Amino acid sequence: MKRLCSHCGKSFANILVGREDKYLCRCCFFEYFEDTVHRTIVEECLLQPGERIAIGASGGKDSTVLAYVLKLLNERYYYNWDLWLLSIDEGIQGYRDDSLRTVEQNRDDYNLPLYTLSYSELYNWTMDQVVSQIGRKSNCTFCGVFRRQALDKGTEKIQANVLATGHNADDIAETILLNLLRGDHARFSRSVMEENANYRMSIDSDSKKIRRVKPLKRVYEKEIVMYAYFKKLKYFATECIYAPFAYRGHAREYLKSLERIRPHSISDILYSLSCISLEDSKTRVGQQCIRCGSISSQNICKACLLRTSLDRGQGVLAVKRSGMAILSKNTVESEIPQTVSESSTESNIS
Amino acid sequence: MATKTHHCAKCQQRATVYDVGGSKCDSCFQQAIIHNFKTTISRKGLAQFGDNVGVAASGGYSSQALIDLLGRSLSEREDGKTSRMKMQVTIFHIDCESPFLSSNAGIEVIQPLAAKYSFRVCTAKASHSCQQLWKQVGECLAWKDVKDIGDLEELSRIVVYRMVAFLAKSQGCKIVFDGLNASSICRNILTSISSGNGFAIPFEVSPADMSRRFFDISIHHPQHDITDRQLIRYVWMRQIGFIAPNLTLLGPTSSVDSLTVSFLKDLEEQHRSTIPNILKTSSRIVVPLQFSHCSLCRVPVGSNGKFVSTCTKVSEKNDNEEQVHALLCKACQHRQGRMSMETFQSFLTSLMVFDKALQSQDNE
Repeated sequence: MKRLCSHCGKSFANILVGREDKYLCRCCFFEYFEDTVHRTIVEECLLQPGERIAIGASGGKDSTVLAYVLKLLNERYYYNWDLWLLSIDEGIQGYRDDSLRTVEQNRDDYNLPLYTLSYSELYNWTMDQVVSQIGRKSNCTFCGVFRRQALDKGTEKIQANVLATGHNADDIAETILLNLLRGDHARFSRSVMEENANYRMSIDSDSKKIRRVKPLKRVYEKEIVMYAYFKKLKYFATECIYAPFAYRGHAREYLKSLERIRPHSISDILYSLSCISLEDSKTRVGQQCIRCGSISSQNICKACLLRTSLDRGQGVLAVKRSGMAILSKNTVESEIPQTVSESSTESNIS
Repeated sequence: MATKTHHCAKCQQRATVYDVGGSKCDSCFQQAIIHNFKTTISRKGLAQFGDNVGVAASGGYSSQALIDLLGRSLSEREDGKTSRMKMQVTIFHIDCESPFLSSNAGIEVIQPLAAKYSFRVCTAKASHSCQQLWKQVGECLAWKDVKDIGDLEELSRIVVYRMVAFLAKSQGCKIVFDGLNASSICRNILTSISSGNGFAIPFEVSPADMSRRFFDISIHHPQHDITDRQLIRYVWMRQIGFIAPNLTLLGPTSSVDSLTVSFLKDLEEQHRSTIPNILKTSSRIVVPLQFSHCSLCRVPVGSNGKFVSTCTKVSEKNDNEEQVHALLCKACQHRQGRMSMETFQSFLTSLMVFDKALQSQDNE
């Protein structure tokens, strides 16, 4: 039976927005979606007019829709944003090379500049090589750490003020559940604090901290898919070939089953987050990695430690807690005499 | 091919239980469970020497294990020494009929176990006030009106806990132990998060009742550190009778509760530390100092306008017509949307009247 749109009451509805139990026609759905993203940006002061914004673009539906919507809002409200697409090539054959072609298509369609960085350029390792050393377990640890740093480096290279990623409400809810199920209190408290905008990190005045924003954080994954479908946006829809073994899959499966019973569960999880306060943990002091200069809470950043482990053929050690402690200690001990001798050489030269 | 025989980590006898803490024989496993139970009571201050304690028993394996553990803790020790714990124990059983409670099966398994340890048994049918409440609630709540199975389960639980609190008060018990174990606490944590009641998590995870949900009665969970799997094993070893859960309504996706239970069970098979992980992370959440209670489910709710909205005006007709404002948590707000307004309001009114009676009994 055809229903009329709950909003305009004129056209027939095409979409059910489950969390609000509304039936919307195509035009009203576009308006609802764009308005939700715009309200998120305005209410949480995510982006300022005139900023240069790097959009993390993987070619997937989230980043494609994000690029499209930001461009649309930029034109509609005259924010004068300088939008750039920033893509990271992890070196996964049969997956990343195809999705990069989609990003190039987006560059041409939306007329946005594109900057691509690859793992092989930054770390001399591709994900295929990493997996061949450590196997299919815990490879997401390497990819996640490397990608985060690669995005920061890419954003610095294009001199952008802020990095926008396509994380949606489902991703954030999954992360909460994931950290709770794994007992990862540090990450759980960080995600709570970030959501409550209480996260403070003591940084040096000349530190190069990149601001990260998630304009799609209040939008459901299903809504993103429907938006991309109705707008006929081109995106790459295949899951990473190494993803099926990730722990996140458990949280995702639970969340999807929950959403089928109660469609508003995802927004309820985010609401629950706003009600939680955690024990005061020690404020992490940001310092610069003595190797690569990235911001880190330790002397040597995680990416450099993981890279060292791979170079030494000890990649498997890096993903075990006890192994990490040994690796970290050995790496720091070997680094500090080196930096001391370098600095003494410099002072001799001067 | 010879099979490897495992030995108990403590006494080197043949092991029969392969647990997180290592292989154990039957006797050492039972000792470990009792030790865990007694330690939780003493370290968390759940009850003091000589207290009058109630036990909320449904007849399920968890509450049967609770009765047996309490009985063994209070009895003379196996080495002949007197137990250091001393409490007056009364068992409360709600034996009224509903879609979720069968009246006779529970009491048939509870009474023999209670008699073994000379515990008194007090049932709802024996209390006139409880019968009145049940009748009131049963009449105003058309159970067939409640289509969501999760809501049915939760509404039954809400009424049962109130009746237990009332029975406890009438018997002079200020402390009640219930059969919530580590697995069910984790289930409650996940369902609280997914229904928007994140505020209640620090109260759910604590073994001691810090929320004062039922005024003067504290409902504690002494089996806080014991998992489902351990309790089932314990009950089987001790050959204790219990009633099985009602499986006709409990398919894995029939409600949020059953989905969460089956998800946790599957995850625990692959990652044994799931339950301790959830408890460990949740226990780091700070207990709020200021809070109110939801008028329906009595769950703690933030007093800050951000966390809560007052949304129901319930009129209570006495000689003078009185307008009563109710506070609802997020989950109950959703529940209100799923039921007819009339049913919800009359159910809420009868519960609020009952709470007033419970509160006035406190003041006497």
